[in-house]
Amino acid sequence: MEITHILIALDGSELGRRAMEAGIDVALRYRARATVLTAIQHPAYAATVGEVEEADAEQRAFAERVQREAVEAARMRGLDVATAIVSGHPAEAIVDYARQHAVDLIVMGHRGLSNLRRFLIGSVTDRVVDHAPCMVLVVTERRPR
Amino acid sequence: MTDASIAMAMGLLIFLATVISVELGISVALIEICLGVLAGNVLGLQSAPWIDYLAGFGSIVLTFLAGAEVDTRLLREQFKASVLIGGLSFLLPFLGAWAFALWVLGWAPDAAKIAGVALSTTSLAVVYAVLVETGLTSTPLGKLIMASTFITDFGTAAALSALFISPTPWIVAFLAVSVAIIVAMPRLQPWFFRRYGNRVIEPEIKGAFAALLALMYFGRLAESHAVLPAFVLGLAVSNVFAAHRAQQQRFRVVAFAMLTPFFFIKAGMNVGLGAVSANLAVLGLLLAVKMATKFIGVLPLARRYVGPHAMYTTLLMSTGLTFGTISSLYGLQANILDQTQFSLLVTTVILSAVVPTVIAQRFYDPRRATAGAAPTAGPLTLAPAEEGDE
Repeated sequence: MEITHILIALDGSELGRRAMEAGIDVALRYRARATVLTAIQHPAYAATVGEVEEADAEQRAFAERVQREAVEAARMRGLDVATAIVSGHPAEAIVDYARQHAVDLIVMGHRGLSNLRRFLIGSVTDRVVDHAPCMVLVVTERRPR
Repeated sequence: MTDASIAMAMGLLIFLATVISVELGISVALIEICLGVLAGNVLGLQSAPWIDYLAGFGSIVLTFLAGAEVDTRLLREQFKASVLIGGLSFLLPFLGAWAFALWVLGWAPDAAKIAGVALSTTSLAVVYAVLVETGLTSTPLGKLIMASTFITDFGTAAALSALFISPTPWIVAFLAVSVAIIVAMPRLQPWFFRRYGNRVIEPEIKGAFAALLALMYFGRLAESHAVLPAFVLGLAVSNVFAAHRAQQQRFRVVAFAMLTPFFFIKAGMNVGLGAVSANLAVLGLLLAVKMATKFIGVLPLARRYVGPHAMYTTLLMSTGLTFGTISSLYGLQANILDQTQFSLLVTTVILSAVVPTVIAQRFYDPRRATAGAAPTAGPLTLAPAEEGDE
Protein backbone atom coordinates (compact mmCIF):
# COMPACT_ATOMS: atom_id res chain seq x y z
CA MET A 1 0.00 0.00 0.00
CA GLU A 2 1.39 3.36 -1.04
CA ILE A 3 0.34 6.59 0.63
CA THR A 4 1.90 9.71 -0.83
CA HIS A 5 -0.69 12.40 -0.16
CA ILE A 6 -2.81 12.68 3.00
CA LEU A 7 -5.71 15.07 3.38
CA ILE A 8 -6.50 16.03 6.97
CA ALA A 9 -9.95 17.61 7.33
CA LEU A 10 -10.24 20.02 10.24
CA ASP A 11 -13.26 21.87 11.58
CA GLY A 12 -11.93 23.22 14.86
CA SER A 13 -13.49 20.46 16.99
CA GLU A 14 -11.65 18.34 19.56
CA LEU A 15 -11.98 15.25 17.35
CA GLY A 16 -10.59 17.27 14.47
CA ARG A 17 -7.54 18.05 16.59
CA ARG A 18 -7.10 14.35 17.29
CA ALA A 19 -7.52 13.64 13.58
CA MET A 20 -4.67 16.06 13.00
CA GLU A 21 -2.47 14.09 15.39
CA ALA A 22 -3.38 10.83 13.64
CA GLY A 23 -2.76 12.42 10.23
CA ILE A 24 0.70 13.56 11.32
CA ASP A 25 1.47 10.03 12.59
CA VAL A 26 0.53 8.45 9.25
CA ALA A 27 2.31 11.12 7.20
CA LEU A 28 5.53 10.63 9.14
CA ARG A 29 5.29 6.85 8.97
CA TYR A 30 4.68 6.79 5.20
CA ARG A 31 6.80 9.89 4.45
CA ALA A 32 3.76 11.31 2.71
CA ARG A 33 2.97 14.95 2.11
CA ALA A 34 -0.02 16.26 4.02
CA THR A 35 -2.61 18.95 3.32
CA VAL A 36 -4.81 20.41 6.01
CA LEU A 37 -8.24 21.34 4.65
CA THR A 38 -11.00 23.36 6.28
CA ALA A 39 -14.36 23.90 4.61
CA ILE A 40 -16.33 27.06 5.18
CA GLN A 41 -20.05 27.08 4.57
CA HIS A 42 -22.17 30.15 3.96
CA PRO A 43 -25.70 30.53 5.31
CA ALA A 44 -28.06 28.97 2.80
CA TYR A 45 -30.93 31.15 1.51
CA ALA A 46 -29.62 34.36 3.04
CA ALA A 47 -31.81 37.45 3.17
CA THR A 48 -29.04 40.01 2.88
CA VAL A 49 -25.66 40.13 1.23
CA GLY A 50 -24.34 41.37 4.56
CA GLU A 51 -25.24 38.12 6.27
CA VAL A 52 -23.20 36.19 3.70
CA GLU A 53 -20.26 38.62 3.75
CA GLU A 54 -20.02 38.69 7.53
CA ALA A 55 -20.38 34.90 7.83
CA ASP A 56 -17.69 34.45 5.17
CA ALA A 57 -15.31 36.79 6.99
CA GLU A 58 -15.97 35.18 10.39
CA GLN A 59 -15.59 31.62 9.12
CA ARG A 60 -12.50 32.43 7.10
CA ALA A 61 -10.87 33.97 10.19
CA PHE A 62 -11.85 30.90 12.24
CA ALA A 63 -10.53 28.51 9.57
CA GLU A 64 -7.23 30.41 9.37
CA ARG A 65 -6.81 30.19 13.12
CA VAL A 66 -7.57 26.44 13.13
CA GLN A 67 -5.07 25.94 10.33
CA ARG A 68 -2.35 28.02 11.97
CA GLU A 69 -2.60 25.82 15.06
CA ALA A 70 -2.51 22.69 12.90
CA VAL A 71 0.54 23.86 10.97
CA GLU A 72 2.28 24.65 14.24
CA ALA A 73 1.39 21.23 15.72
CA ALA A 74 2.79 19.52 12.62
CA ARG A 75 5.94 21.62 12.62
CA MET A 76 6.60 20.71 16.26
CA ARG A 77 6.74 17.09 15.11
CA GLY A 78 8.92 17.82 12.11
CA LEU A 79 6.29 17.81 9.38
CA ASP A 80 5.55 20.61 6.93
CA VAL A 81 1.93 20.66 5.81
CA ALA A 82 0.13 22.54 3.07
CA THR A 83 -3.17 24.29 3.83
CA ALA A 84 -6.40 24.83 1.92
CA ILE A 85 -9.64 26.64 2.75
CA VAL A 86 -12.52 25.76 0.46
CA SER A 87 -16.15 26.90 0.27
CA GLY A 88 -19.11 24.57 0.20
CA HIS A 89 -20.73 21.71 2.03
CA PRO A 90 -17.89 20.09 4.01
CA ALA A 91 -18.47 16.56 2.68
CA GLU A 92 -18.59 17.70 -0.94
CA ALA A 93 -15.61 19.99 -0.45
CA ILE A 94 -13.48 17.22 1.08
CA VAL A 95 -14.41 14.64 -1.57
CA ASP A 96 -13.95 17.11 -4.46
CA TYR A 97 -10.56 18.17 -3.13
CA ALA A 98 -9.46 14.56 -2.73
CA ARG A 99 -10.51 13.79 -6.32
CA GLN A 100 -8.79 16.82 -7.78
CA HIS A 101 -5.51 16.46 -5.88
CA ALA A 102 -4.81 12.71 -6.05
CA VAL A 103 -5.25 12.18 -2.33
CA ASP A 104 -4.55 8.63 -1.10
CA LEU A 105 -5.96 8.96 2.40
CA ILE A 106 -8.44 11.29 4.07
CA VAL A 107 -8.14 11.66 7.86
CA MET A 108 -11.03 13.22 9.74
CA GLY A 109 -12.90 13.21 13.02
CA HIS A 110 -15.99 11.09 13.49
CA ARG A 111 -18.04 13.98 14.76
CA GLY A 112 -17.79 17.68 14.05
CA LEU A 113 -18.94 20.78 15.85
CA SER A 114 -22.71 20.54 15.49
CA ASN A 115 -24.75 17.63 16.83
CA LEU A 116 -27.99 19.31 15.70
CA ARG A 117 -26.84 19.62 12.09
CA ARG A 118 -25.65 16.01 12.19
CA PHE A 119 -29.04 14.89 13.54
CA LEU A 120 -31.09 16.82 10.98
CA ILE A 121 -28.93 16.83 7.87
CA GLY A 122 -26.69 13.82 8.36
CA SER A 123 -23.09 13.15 9.17
CA VAL A 124 -20.33 14.74 7.11
CA THR A 125 -18.12 11.75 7.93
CA ASP A 126 -20.70 9.26 6.65
CA ARG A 127 -20.98 11.13 3.38
CA VAL A 128 -17.22 11.34 2.94
CA VAL A 129 -16.86 7.62 3.64
CA ASP A 130 -19.61 6.87 1.11
CA HIS A 131 -18.21 9.03 -1.70
CA ALA A 132 -14.47 9.32 -1.14
CA PRO A 133 -12.22 8.24 -4.04
CA CYS A 134 -9.64 6.92 -1.57
CA MET A 135 -9.25 5.41 1.91
CA VAL A 136 -10.69 7.29 4.84
CA LEU A 137 -9.32 7.12 8.38
CA VAL A 138 -12.03 8.15 10.85
CA VAL A 139 -10.87 9.16 14.33
CA THR A 140 -13.52 8.30 16.90
CA GLU A 141 -14.01 9.42 20.48
CA ARG A 142 -12.85 6.03 21.73
CA ARG A 143 -9.15 5.94 22.54
CA PRO A 144 -7.30 2.91 21.12
CA ARG A 145 -6.35 0.47 23.85
CA MET B 1 -51.01 39.09 25.97
CA THR B 2 -49.29 42.09 27.48
CA ASP B 3 -46.60 44.05 25.72
CA ALA B 4 -44.04 42.74 28.20
CA SER B 5 -44.94 39.09 27.55
CA ILE B 6 -44.95 39.64 23.78
CA ALA B 7 -41.55 41.33 24.04
CA MET B 8 -40.18 38.44 26.10
CA ALA B 9 -41.52 35.89 23.61
CA MET B 10 -40.06 37.84 20.69
CA GLY B 11 -36.71 38.09 22.45
CA LEU B 12 -36.62 34.33 23.00
CA LEU B 13 -37.62 33.61 19.40
CA ILE B 14 -34.96 35.96 18.03
CA PHE B 15 -32.30 34.36 20.22
CA LEU B 16 -33.43 30.83 19.36
CA ALA B 17 -33.44 31.62 15.63
CA THR B 18 -29.84 32.78 15.84
CA VAL B 19 -28.68 29.62 17.61
CA ILE B 20 -30.54 27.35 15.17
CA SER B 21 -29.17 29.33 12.21
CA VAL B 22 -25.59 28.85 13.37
CA GLU B 23 -26.13 25.15 14.13
CA LEU B 24 -27.81 24.37 10.80
CA GLY B 25 -25.91 26.76 8.53
CA ILE B 26 -29.18 28.18 7.22
CA SER B 27 -29.92 31.89 6.92
CA VAL B 28 -31.21 33.42 10.14
CA ALA B 29 -33.99 35.14 8.17
CA LEU B 30 -35.43 31.84 6.99
CA ILE B 31 -35.28 30.42 10.51
CA GLU B 32 -36.96 33.57 11.86
CA ILE B 33 -39.80 33.20 9.36
CA CYS B 34 -40.21 29.53 10.31
CA LEU B 35 -40.22 30.31 14.04
CA GLY B 36 -42.70 33.11 13.32
CA VAL B 37 -44.97 30.57 11.60
CA LEU B 38 -44.65 28.31 14.63
CA ALA B 39 -45.30 31.16 17.07
CA GLY B 40 -48.35 32.40 15.16
CA ASN B 41 -49.93 29.01 14.43
CA VAL B 42 -48.98 26.84 17.38
CA LEU B 43 -48.11 29.15 20.27
CA GLY B 44 -50.80 31.69 19.44
CA LEU B 45 -48.41 34.63 19.67
CA GLN B 46 -50.04 37.81 18.39
CA SER B 47 -48.48 40.96 17.05
CA ALA B 48 -48.73 44.40 18.65
CA PRO B 49 -48.59 47.87 17.10
CA TRP B 50 -45.00 48.38 18.22
CA ILE B 51 -44.00 45.11 16.57
CA ASP B 52 -45.78 46.17 13.39
CA TYR B 53 -43.84 49.42 13.39
CA LEU B 54 -40.49 47.76 14.11
CA ALA B 55 -41.21 45.20 11.39
CA GLY B 56 -42.01 48.02 8.95
CA PHE B 57 -38.80 49.79 9.87
CA GLY B 58 -36.93 46.50 9.53
CA SER B 59 -38.22 46.17 5.98
CA ILE B 60 -37.03 49.70 5.13
CA VAL B 61 -33.61 48.99 6.66
CA LEU B 62 -33.40 45.78 4.61
CA THR B 63 -34.27 47.71 1.47
CA PHE B 64 -31.67 50.37 2.29
CA LEU B 65 -29.07 47.64 2.83
CA ALA B 66 -30.04 46.04 -0.49
CA GLY B 67 -29.41 49.37 -2.22
CA ALA B 68 -26.16 49.93 -0.33
CA GLU B 69 -24.95 46.48 -1.38
CA VAL B 70 -25.21 47.36 -5.07
CA ASP B 71 -21.79 47.45 -6.69
CA THR B 72 -22.19 50.47 -8.98
CA ARG B 73 -18.90 49.80 -10.77
CA LEU B 74 -20.05 46.29 -11.55
CA LEU B 75 -23.36 47.63 -12.77
CA ARG B 76 -21.61 50.00 -15.18
CA GLU B 77 -19.34 47.21 -16.44
CA GLN B 78 -22.25 44.95 -17.29
CA PHE B 79 -24.78 47.63 -18.05
CA LYS B 80 -26.40 46.56 -21.32
CA ALA B 81 -26.66 42.84 -20.64
CA SER B 82 -27.73 43.36 -17.04
CA VAL B 83 -30.45 45.88 -17.95
CA LEU B 84 -31.83 43.46 -20.52
CA ILE B 85 -31.66 40.34 -18.34
CA GLY B 86 -32.60 42.09 -15.08
CA GLY B 87 -35.33 44.16 -16.74
CA LEU B 88 -37.06 41.17 -18.30
CA SER B 89 -36.45 39.16 -15.13
CA PHE B 90 -38.62 41.74 -13.38
CA LEU B 91 -41.13 42.61 -16.09
CA LEU B 92 -42.35 39.21 -17.29
CA PRO B 93 -42.88 37.63 -13.85
CA PHE B 94 -44.52 40.86 -12.69
CA LEU B 95 -46.98 40.89 -15.59
CA GLY B 96 -47.42 37.12 -15.55
CA ALA B 97 -48.11 36.79 -11.82
CA TRP B 98 -50.33 39.88 -11.86
CA ALA B 99 -52.41 38.49 -14.73
CA PHE B 100 -52.53 35.01 -13.19
CA ALA B 101 -53.70 36.30 -9.81
CA LEU B 102 -56.25 38.61 -11.41
CA TRP B 103 -57.78 36.41 -14.08
CA VAL B 104 -57.12 32.85 -12.95
CA LEU B 105 -57.26 33.15 -9.16
CA GLY B 106 -59.82 35.96 -9.19
CA TRP B 107 -57.93 38.17 -6.75
CA ALA B 108 -58.84 41.84 -6.42
CA PRO B 109 -56.83 44.13 -8.76
CA ASP B 110 -54.61 45.57 -6.02
CA ALA B 111 -53.98 42.13 -4.50
CA ALA B 112 -53.04 40.88 -7.97
CA LYS B 113 -50.57 43.77 -8.31
CA ILE B 114 -48.94 42.76 -5.02
CA ALA B 115 -48.70 39.19 -6.31
CA GLY B 116 -46.98 40.53 -9.42
CA VAL B 117 -44.48 42.56 -7.39
CA ALA B 118 -43.81 39.81 -4.82
CA LEU B 119 -43.13 37.17 -7.46
CA SER B 120 -41.08 39.40 -9.77
CA THR B 121 -38.16 39.57 -7.37
CA THR B 122 -34.74 38.01 -7.54
CA SER B 123 -32.91 37.58 -4.27
CA LEU B 124 -29.48 39.19 -4.47
CA ALA B 125 -28.53 37.60 -1.16
CA VAL B 126 -29.51 34.07 -2.23
CA VAL B 127 -27.70 34.60 -5.54
CA TYR B 128 -24.65 36.05 -3.80
CA ALA B 129 -24.44 33.17 -1.31
CA VAL B 130 -24.52 30.63 -4.14
CA LEU B 131 -21.88 32.55 -6.13
CA VAL B 132 -19.58 32.85 -3.10
CA GLU B 133 -20.02 29.17 -2.34
CA THR B 134 -19.13 28.21 -5.91
CA GLY B 135 -16.32 30.76 -6.16
CA LEU B 136 -17.96 32.61 -9.04
CA THR B 137 -18.37 36.12 -7.61
CA SER B 138 -15.43 37.57 -9.49
CA THR B 139 -16.03 35.74 -12.78
CA PRO B 140 -17.81 37.49 -15.67
CA LEU B 141 -20.73 35.09 -15.21
CA GLY B 142 -21.09 35.91 -11.52
CA LYS B 143 -20.76 39.64 -12.15
CA LEU B 144 -23.44 39.57 -14.83
CA ILE B 145 -25.86 37.65 -12.62
CA MET B 146 -25.34 40.06 -9.71
CA ALA B 147 -25.65 43.15 -11.90
CA SER B 148 -28.86 41.77 -13.42
CA THR B 149 -30.21 41.12 -9.93
CA PHE B 150 -29.62 44.79 -9.00
CA ILE B 151 -31.80 45.82 -11.94
CA THR B 152 -34.56 43.38 -11.03
CA ASP B 153 -34.50 44.64 -7.42
CA PHE B 154 -34.80 48.20 -8.66
CA GLY B 155 -37.82 47.25 -10.78
CA THR B 156 -39.48 45.60 -7.80
CA ALA B 157 -38.85 48.57 -5.49
CA ALA B 158 -40.10 51.01 -8.13
CA ALA B 159 -43.24 48.98 -8.78
CA LEU B 160 -44.10 48.65 -5.09
CA SER B 161 -43.76 52.39 -4.59
CA ALA B 162 -45.38 53.55 -7.82
CA LEU B 163 -48.34 51.18 -8.09
CA PHE B 164 -50.02 52.21 -4.89
CA ILE B 165 -49.54 55.97 -4.96
CA SER B 166 -52.69 57.87 -4.02
CA PRO B 167 -53.09 61.32 -5.52
CA THR B 168 -52.86 63.24 -2.24
CA PRO B 169 -51.04 66.56 -1.66
CA TRP B 170 -48.64 64.69 0.58
CA ILE B 171 -47.17 62.90 -2.40
CA VAL B 172 -45.39 66.12 -3.34
CA ALA B 173 -43.90 66.40 0.15
CA PHE B 174 -42.88 62.72 0.04
CA LEU B 175 -41.15 63.21 -3.30
CA ALA B 176 -39.45 66.43 -2.16
CA VAL B 177 -38.18 64.90 1.10
CA SER B 178 -37.03 61.75 -0.72
CA VAL B 179 -35.09 63.73 -3.33
CA ALA B 180 -33.61 66.06 -0.70
CA ILE B 181 -32.38 63.16 1.46
CA ILE B 182 -31.06 61.17 -1.51
CA VAL B 183 -29.17 64.20 -2.86
CA ALA B 184 -27.92 65.55 0.46
CA MET B 185 -26.86 62.40 2.31
CA PRO B 186 -24.03 61.20 0.03
CA ARG B 187 -22.71 64.77 -0.18
CA LEU B 188 -22.79 65.35 3.56
CA GLN B 189 -21.53 61.94 4.59
CA PRO B 190 -17.76 62.47 4.03
CA TRP B 191 -17.83 65.64 6.17
CA PHE B 192 -20.15 64.02 8.72
CA PHE B 193 -17.94 60.93 9.02
CA ARG B 194 -14.84 63.09 9.54
CA ARG B 195 -16.51 65.34 12.09
CA TYR B 196 -18.58 62.83 14.09
CA GLY B 197 -17.51 59.35 12.95
CA ASN B 198 -15.90 56.44 14.83
CA ARG B 199 -17.55 56.99 18.20
CA VAL B 200 -19.24 54.40 20.35
CA ILE B 201 -22.45 56.47 20.31
CA GLU B 202 -22.66 55.79 16.53
CA PRO B 203 -23.66 59.12 14.96
CA GLU B 204 -23.39 57.61 11.44
CA ILE B 205 -25.94 54.87 12.15
CA LYS B 206 -28.30 57.25 13.92
CA GLY B 207 -28.07 59.66 10.98
CA ALA B 208 -28.99 56.90 8.53
CA PHE B 209 -31.84 55.72 10.77
CA ALA B 210 -33.16 59.29 11.06
CA ALA B 211 -33.19 59.60 7.26
CA LEU B 212 -35.02 56.26 6.88
CA LEU B 213 -37.56 57.11 9.57
CA ALA B 214 -38.26 60.41 7.80
CA LEU B 215 -38.82 58.53 4.54
CA MET B 216 -41.20 56.16 6.32
CA TYR B 217 -43.12 59.04 7.89
CA PHE B 218 -43.63 60.95 4.66
CA GLY B 219 -44.33 57.71 2.80
CA ARG B 220 -47.19 56.98 5.17
CA LEU B 221 -48.53 60.54 4.93
CA ALA B 222 -48.57 60.11 1.15
CA GLU B 223 -50.23 56.69 1.53
CA SER B 224 -47.29 55.20 -0.35
CA HIS B 225 -44.33 53.03 0.58
CA ALA B 226 -40.80 54.25 1.26
CA VAL B 227 -39.21 51.20 -0.33
CA LEU B 228 -38.07 52.95 -3.54
CA PRO B 229 -36.46 56.01 -1.90
CA ALA B 230 -34.86 53.73 0.72
CA PHE B 231 -33.40 51.55 -2.03
CA VAL B 232 -32.18 54.56 -4.04
CA LEU B 233 -30.75 56.14 -0.87
CA GLY B 234 -28.83 52.92 -0.21
CA LEU B 235 -27.60 52.99 -3.80
CA ALA B 236 -26.55 56.63 -3.42
CA VAL B 237 -24.43 55.90 -0.34
CA SER B 238 -23.13 52.53 -1.52
CA ASN B 239 -19.70 53.96 -2.38
CA VAL B 240 -19.44 55.57 1.07
CA PHE B 241 -20.39 52.26 2.67
CA ALA B 242 -17.85 50.41 0.55
CA ALA B 243 -15.14 52.85 1.66
CA HIS B 244 -16.06 52.59 5.35
CA ARG B 245 -16.19 48.88 6.02
CA ALA B 246 -16.31 49.25 9.81
CA GLN B 247 -19.38 51.52 9.68
CA GLN B 248 -21.08 49.17 7.26
CA GLN B 249 -20.42 46.25 9.57
CA ARG B 250 -21.76 48.13 12.61
CA PHE B 251 -24.89 49.13 10.68
CA ARG B 252 -25.43 45.49 9.83
CA VAL B 253 -24.89 44.45 13.44
CA VAL B 254 -27.59 46.83 14.66
CA ALA B 255 -29.96 45.88 11.85
CA PHE B 256 -29.53 42.11 12.26
CA ALA B 257 -29.61 42.21 16.05
CA MET B 258 -32.59 44.46 16.62
CA LEU B 259 -34.63 45.30 13.51
CA THR B 260 -34.73 42.69 10.77
CA PRO B 261 -35.70 39.83 13.15
CA PHE B 262 -38.95 41.64 13.93
CA PHE B 263 -39.71 41.89 10.23
CA PHE B 264 -39.10 38.22 9.46
CA ILE B 265 -40.80 36.87 12.60
CA LYS B 266 -43.77 39.14 12.01
CA ALA B 267 -43.99 37.89 8.41
CA GLY B 268 -43.93 34.31 9.64
CA MET B 269 -46.55 34.95 12.32
CA ASN B 270 -49.02 36.03 9.66
CA VAL B 271 -48.65 32.89 7.59
CA GLY B 272 -51.64 30.64 8.20
CA LEU B 273 -50.64 27.00 7.92
CA GLY B 274 -54.28 26.06 7.43
CA ALA B 275 -54.58 28.47 4.51
CA VAL B 276 -51.45 27.07 2.90
CA SER B 277 -52.40 23.41 3.34
CA ALA B 278 -55.89 24.08 1.97
CA ASN B 279 -54.45 25.69 -1.17
CA LEU B 280 -51.48 23.54 -2.08
CA ALA B 281 -52.48 23.48 -5.75
CA VAL B 282 -52.59 27.29 -5.87
CA LEU B 283 -49.22 27.38 -4.13
CA GLY B 284 -47.73 25.08 -6.76
CA LEU B 285 -49.26 27.15 -9.54
CA LEU B 286 -47.91 30.42 -8.15
CA LEU B 287 -44.41 28.95 -7.95
CA ALA B 288 -44.79 27.54 -11.46
CA VAL B 289 -45.92 30.95 -12.77
CA LYS B 290 -42.96 32.68 -11.17
CA MET B 291 -40.45 30.20 -12.55
CA ALA B 292 -42.06 29.88 -15.98
CA THR B 293 -42.18 33.64 -16.51
CA LYS B 294 -38.58 33.99 -15.30
CA PHE B 295 -37.60 31.34 -17.83
CA ILE B 296 -39.48 33.06 -20.64
CA GLY B 297 -37.90 36.41 -19.78
CA VAL B 298 -34.36 35.39 -18.88
CA LEU B 299 -33.45 32.15 -20.67
CA PRO B 300 -33.28 33.48 -24.26
CA LEU B 301 -31.12 36.43 -23.21
CA ALA B 302 -29.01 34.24 -20.95
CA ARG B 303 -28.37 31.92 -23.90
CA ARG B 304 -27.14 34.91 -25.84
CA TYR B 305 -24.90 36.34 -23.11
CA VAL B 306 -23.68 33.40 -21.04
CA GLY B 307 -24.07 30.53 -23.51
CA PRO B 308 -23.56 27.24 -21.70
CA HIS B 309 -24.61 28.65 -18.33
CA ALA B 310 -28.00 29.95 -19.41
CA MET B 311 -29.95 27.50 -17.27
CA TYR B 312 -27.83 28.23 -14.20
CA THR B 313 -28.28 31.96 -14.71
CA THR B 314 -32.03 31.62 -15.24
CA LEU B 315 -32.47 29.48 -12.15
CA LEU B 316 -30.55 31.92 -9.97
CA MET B 317 -32.60 34.80 -11.37
CA SER B 318 -35.71 32.82 -10.33
CA THR B 319 -34.84 32.99 -6.63
CA GLY B 320 -36.58 35.37 -4.25
CA LEU B 321 -36.81 36.08 -0.55
CA THR B 322 -36.46 39.52 1.01
CA PHE B 323 -38.22 41.81 -1.46
CA GLY B 324 -40.96 39.25 -2.00
CA THR B 325 -41.59 39.10 1.74
CA ILE B 326 -41.45 42.91 2.04
CA SER B 327 -44.01 43.31 -0.76
CA SER B 328 -46.32 40.70 0.71
CA LEU B 329 -46.18 42.15 4.23
CA TYR B 330 -46.87 45.61 2.83
CA GLY B 331 -49.93 44.19 1.08
CA LEU B 332 -51.17 42.58 4.29
CA GLN B 333 -50.60 45.64 6.48
CA ALA B 334 -52.28 47.92 3.93
CA ASN B 335 -55.28 45.54 3.87
CA ILE B 336 -54.68 44.81 0.19
CA LEU B 337 -54.12 41.10 0.84
CA ASP B 338 -56.12 38.83 3.08
CA GLN B 339 -54.32 36.31 5.27
CA THR B 340 -54.74 33.45 2.80
CA GLN B 341 -53.31 35.46 -0.08
CA PHE B 342 -50.44 36.65 2.13
CA SER B 343 -49.73 33.10 3.33
CA LEU B 344 -49.64 31.80 -0.22
CA LEU B 345 -47.38 34.58 -1.48
CA VAL B 346 -44.87 34.34 1.38
CA THR B 347 -44.74 30.55 1.11
CA THR B 348 -44.22 30.82 -2.64
CA VAL B 349 -41.44 33.35 -2.06
CA ILE B 350 -39.73 31.02 0.44
CA LEU B 351 -40.06 28.09 -1.96
CA SER B 352 -38.55 30.25 -4.68
CA ALA B 353 -35.50 30.78 -2.46
CA VAL B 354 -35.02 27.03 -2.11
CA VAL B 355 -36.26 25.21 -5.24
CA PRO B 356 -34.33 27.03 -8.02
CA THR B 357 -31.19 27.17 -5.85
CA VAL B 358 -31.21 23.43 -5.22
CA ILE B 359 -31.82 22.65 -8.91
CA ALA B 360 -29.11 25.09 -10.04
CA GLN B 361 -26.51 23.71 -7.65
CA ARG B 362 -27.42 20.07 -8.17
CA PHE B 363 -27.73 19.96 -11.95
CA TYR B 364 -26.21 23.11 -13.49
CA ASP B 365 -23.22 23.99 -11.30
CA PRO B 366 -20.75 25.68 -13.71
CA ARG B 367 -17.78 24.10 -11.89
CA ARG B 368 -19.05 20.65 -12.81
CA ALA B 369 -19.80 21.83 -16.35
CA THR B 370 -16.22 23.09 -16.49
CA ALA B 371 -14.84 19.70 -15.51
CA GLY B 372 -16.55 18.09 -18.48
CA ALA B 373 -16.00 20.90 -20.96
CA ALA B 374 -13.43 21.20 -23.67
CA PRO B 375 -10.33 22.99 -22.43
CA THR B 376 -10.87 25.88 -24.81
CA ALA B 377 -14.50 26.45 -23.94
CA GLY B 378 -13.79 29.14 -21.32
CA PRO B 379 -17.13 28.37 -19.71
CA LEU B 380 -17.06 30.95 -16.95
CA THR B 381 -16.67 33.80 -19.38
CA LEU B 382 -19.53 35.46 -21.18
CA ALA B 383 -20.54 34.38 -24.65
CA PRO B 384 -18.87 36.52 -27.33
CA ALA B 385 -20.87 39.68 -27.91
CA GLU B 386 -22.75 39.79 -31.17
CA GLU B 387 -22.28 42.61 -33.58
CA GLY B 388 -23.75 45.74 -32.12
CA ASP B 389 -23.25 44.61 -28.54
CA GLU B 390 -20.86 46.44 -26.28
